[in-house]
Parts: sequence; structure tokens; C-alpha cells
Amino acid sequence: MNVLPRLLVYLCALLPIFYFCYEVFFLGKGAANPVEFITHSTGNATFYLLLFLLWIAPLRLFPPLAGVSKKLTRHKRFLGLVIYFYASLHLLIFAIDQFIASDWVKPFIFSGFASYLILSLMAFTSFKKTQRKLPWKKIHRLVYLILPLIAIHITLKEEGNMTKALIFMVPLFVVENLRFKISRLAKK
Amino acid sequence: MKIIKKPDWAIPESQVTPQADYLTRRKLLKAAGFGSALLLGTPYDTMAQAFESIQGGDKITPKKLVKTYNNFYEFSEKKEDVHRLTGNFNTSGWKIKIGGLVEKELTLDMDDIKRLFPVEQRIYKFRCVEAWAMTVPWGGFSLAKLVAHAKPLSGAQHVEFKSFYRPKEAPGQATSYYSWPYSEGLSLAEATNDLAFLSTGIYGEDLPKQNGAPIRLVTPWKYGFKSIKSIVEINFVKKQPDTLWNQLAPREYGYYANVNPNVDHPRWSQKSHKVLGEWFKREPTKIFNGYEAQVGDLYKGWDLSKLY
Repeated sequence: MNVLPRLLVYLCALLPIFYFCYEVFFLGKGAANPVEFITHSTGNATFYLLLFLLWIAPLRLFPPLAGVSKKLTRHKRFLGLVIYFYASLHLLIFAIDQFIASDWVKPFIFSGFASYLILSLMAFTSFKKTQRKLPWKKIHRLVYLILPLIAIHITLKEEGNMTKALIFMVPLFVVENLRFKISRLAKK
Repeated sequence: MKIIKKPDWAIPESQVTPQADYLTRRKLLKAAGFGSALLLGTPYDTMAQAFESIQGGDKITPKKLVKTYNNFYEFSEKKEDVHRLTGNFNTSGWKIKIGGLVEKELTLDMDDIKRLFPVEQRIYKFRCVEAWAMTVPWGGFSLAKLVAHAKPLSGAQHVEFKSFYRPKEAPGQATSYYSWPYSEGLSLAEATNDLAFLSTGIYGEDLPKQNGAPIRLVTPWKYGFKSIKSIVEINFVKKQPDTLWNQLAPREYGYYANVNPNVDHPRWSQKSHKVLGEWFKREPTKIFNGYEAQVGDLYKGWDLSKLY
């Protein structure tokens, strides 16, 4: 039974690559502006996988899914590193392109880069050794700082249109808020 | 004596492919690795490729890219999705209303337009405000010819263009908050400049829906958003008309929108652009997109950093 969550996690990790191939080979996307297309694809991969990862914990609030949540939790470190991989590609191809254009004025750079720094910190403290040495759990709460940063990042990219950021982040925010309140009540 | 005057934007004779090269173009193409393209491509594609492999300079953008990378928010904000979303867009029986300060209001259908204005081909460079560019062989006619036909009254100073509003046929119009229909405008002097073009086709075929069928504006010295697609209304007016992008974000999308490497978009540089199909390579953007000789006079003495 433990094979299933593992398979699900691997599938999620590879999904962006499958989708990328589908778009390129079946829909013919990416030919006109390859760099823009890869930047968007890797950015979306980072965003959706991060949302998936962040939904694992609050799933515990829904009794039928509590077991799944528990099993998936074990794979969060792996998933986090996969997210870091996509985020790195996203930043790399964008940075090369901007370097060539010598154009660094785009406002979404700051929120994007700040998010990347936080992800880097999390990735490099996620080795088993450092997990034991450092206040690892506290460091990893920084992930909740990334959420508003990404919301800003996406909104600035989409001509100030907040729809995408809101649709995906508000439900998670509501559920996490609920979880926080419940855990506080439990402590009392 | 008959004097033949060539428009000064035309590609000079010296740049035309020599006949010997043209006749042996298949060899050239094969040498350049275009063997398979020969089998698949239309004559236009092969000509364009021969042109680019011999001559260099502004290459004609492959037709496929021009037809699958479209800023047409009426259908989608995603450029590569637009061409798949135009299925319900019905352009048959298309009519254009010409009104405002004219001697007599007119309504023209596409047959009238074909009859009144013979089609000519023009290769123009097209520069999007998003810092990418393409070179397209357009078919159509000078806007000046339509202006002359419309007979504007002396009070007319500007020309206003409006596109369609059909949320049932255009999914982007149904789901987005923009102030549809799309609208654009030119001064009468700009509209009667020989470069201002009404296009009804690309690459020798009818204008595809995603490129603004059945008729659109092309103003190659201005950023692409001025080149309004699928026009249904042209009005001659006294005052500068309100236009969609300029109303939405005047700092970002100036009314004049002349291509200018010295005036950056608030969110990105306009000094260079990417040619469609390229990965990282960019080329420098020229003032008025390289058409300064043809349109520079229109803006003589203007402070282009303010009137952008």
C-alpha cells in the first residue's frame, strides 16, 4: 500500500515534463518564442507543485484523506527538491535571456528572486545531517512567506490581473488558517 | 513622359535575388538543409527561404509562427492558444461601417472592398510592444485609398477604428474585463501616410482569423497593438479618440505608440527585441521601427519622450 503514494509523488514530479512534451509535440507550442515558453512552463511547474505540496498537510483536516496525507508527508522532502529543480530552471533561462537583453527592470524579478532565495535555503538545509543540526522545522515554515511573494510575482506578470493568484491561493489560505486555529485550540 | 515613382520603403532592386540564384534556389535550399521544407512548404515559404538564405537581413518570418503566435485577447491572453479558439468566430457577411465626419456614411462588405481597392503585397516589419518582432508579407491596400473614398469633411482630424463585440464567438471577450470592443485611432495625417495599410491577407492567402480576419490595420512604425484586428467600424472624428490600451494603462501604452528604443516601457526595455523563432538572439530596435524616412516628418519637432 505504500507504493501508491510513492507512485503518485513521482507522477506529480514528472507531470510538468509530460505536459511540456504534449504542448510542444502535439500542440506545436514554443516554436515562436522558445525562451518565453520554457520560462512559463517551468514557472507553472514550480507554482502548481508547490501548491500540491502545501495541500498535503491540511488534507489531514478531512478524515477520509488523513491517511493519504500521512503517507504523502514522507515524500515532501523529495517533492520540495523537485520544486527547487523546476524553480532553478525557471530562473536560469530567464536570467540568461535578461542578461543578453541587459534588461533588469521587470518588477516581478524581486518577488521571484526572493522566493528563490527562500527555496534555496530550504533545499540546502534539507539534508539529513542539517535536518538534525538546525532548527529545520522553523526554517521550513518560511515556505509560507513564499506564498504572498508568488502571488505578487504572478499578478505583476499578468498585467495586474489577480485572478490566477487568488483562485489558487485563497482556498489554501482558508484551510491553513483553519488548521492553525484548530492546533491552537488543541494546545489550550 | 511616363514617370514611375517607386515608394521609398520598397526593397531596392539591388536586393532582389538574382535570377540565376533564383533558378538554382533548390540547390541552395538543399545546401541550407531546407530539403524537407521544399516538399511541405507553399511557394511563399520556399521563396521566403530562398530570399533569406541568399540575401540575409530581415528574414520573412515562417508562416507557421505568424499564424500560431497571436496577441488577440478577444480569444485568449495566451498567444499560442488563440489560433485554436477561433472556431466559432464567424467572419462571413462581414461589413464595415464608415461614418462620423464624412460626406455620406457608408457600409462596405468585403466584396465592395475587393472591388474598390485592388490588392497589393507589402513586406513589413512588425514590432510588438512586448519586445518581439516578425516580418510578414501582407496583402491589402493603402488606408489612404479608403480615406479618399470615404470623403472626410474638413473638420475631421482623427480616424477611430473599432473591432467586433461578440462574446459568444470570442471566448476571451466573455471572460475578461477589458472594455470591449477593441478600439484604436490615428491622426488623419498618419492615416493618409502611404505606410498605413489595411490588410486582408498574409503570405498570399486570406487573412486567417487569428491574425484579424477579414480586415485589419497595419501601421509598421507603431507598436503592434495599434494595428487593430477585425475592423467593423471606421469613424472620422474631430478629437483624438479613446483607445482600449491607452485608456487602461496610459503610462504603459501611449496613444501614439511609435516604436522608439529610447523610451522604455515602464516594465521593460524597448532598446532591443527578439525576432520570432529565435532563442536568445536579439536585434536592436530602430526608431519608428526603421521607417523614419517615411514617417519622420509626421513627428518633426515632437518631444517623443513625452508624446510616446
